[in-house]
Amino acid sequence: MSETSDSKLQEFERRSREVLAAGAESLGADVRSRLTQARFKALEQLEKPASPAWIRALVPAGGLAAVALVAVMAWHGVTGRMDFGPTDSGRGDVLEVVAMADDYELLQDDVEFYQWLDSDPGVDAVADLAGAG
Amino acid sequence: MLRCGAFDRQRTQRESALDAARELERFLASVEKRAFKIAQIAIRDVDDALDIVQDSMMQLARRYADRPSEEWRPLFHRILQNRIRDCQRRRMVRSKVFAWLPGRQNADGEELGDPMDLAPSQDPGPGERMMMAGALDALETAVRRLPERQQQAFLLRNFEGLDVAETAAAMGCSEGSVKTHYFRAVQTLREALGEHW
Repeated sequence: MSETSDSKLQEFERRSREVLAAGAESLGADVRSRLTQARFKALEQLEKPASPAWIRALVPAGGLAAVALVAVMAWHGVTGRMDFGPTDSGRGDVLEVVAMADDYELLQDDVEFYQWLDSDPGVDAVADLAGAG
Repeated sequence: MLRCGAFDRQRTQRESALDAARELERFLASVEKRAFKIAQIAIRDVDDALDIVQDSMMQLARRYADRPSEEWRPLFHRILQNRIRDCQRRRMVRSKVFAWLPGRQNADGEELGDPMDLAPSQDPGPGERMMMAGALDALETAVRRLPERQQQAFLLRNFEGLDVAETAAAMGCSEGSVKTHYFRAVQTLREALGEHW
């Protein structure tokens, strides 16, 4: 890449960063107030006691149960033993809603992030740079 | 003597909990506005974007407050991106459900579709767009048009200032993918906004 196009690219990145940052800083009073309320609500979570270990242990079990339920529904759907009504689209929507269970997403937050954290040797840089940012 | 020791221990615990809460508050205050803009650009709805940011903050405080503070940023953005995706999926499911619900037809018997589509658009119309002079409006409009992954890579890298490794953690993909998405996003945006933007 030539020096000119390099500097043009950097100029574009700098300018877009500035423009977006200015947009974030000029949010309306209503939005800023609601963000502050959201922050206080989040901090209230720190005062709540953590759920007991046995409840947390049930979360993966719940995820597995949801997956098993989806598998059973899909199997029955394929073999035609379950009647979902006159339209096919309803079946897809039901499966989609079940598959979107929040607990499963919470699990994803944890598992994927910590797998990445453990597996990537260059990830120590995250700690250093995050501290600097 | 013993009672004094227990009292001191309790006071130290209380103080360290207070310090941790203050640190988390500083962190949340430092990311909340940009997080809101990221969600708003992706979702195009102020209320939904605020809900997503609040939900992400609560999730971080509830589950990861005891993690080292340097891990908070990639974790928070990972949660934020998951919540944005959830919201987009819910909208998709809702539009499918409304599409086959009976009774959603106009006088001519035509399907009305998702009521969200009938709501006034927050995207500017052609006339209004022509009047947009501000660089921010032009940039936000162009960023909204990017494919989802390019939009995420651009906003996390350029706007939020995450490095490649942190962005990869937040997006749940490899560092190579982040570089590719970011490069394509910048190319598309420069083309869309033109030389004199």
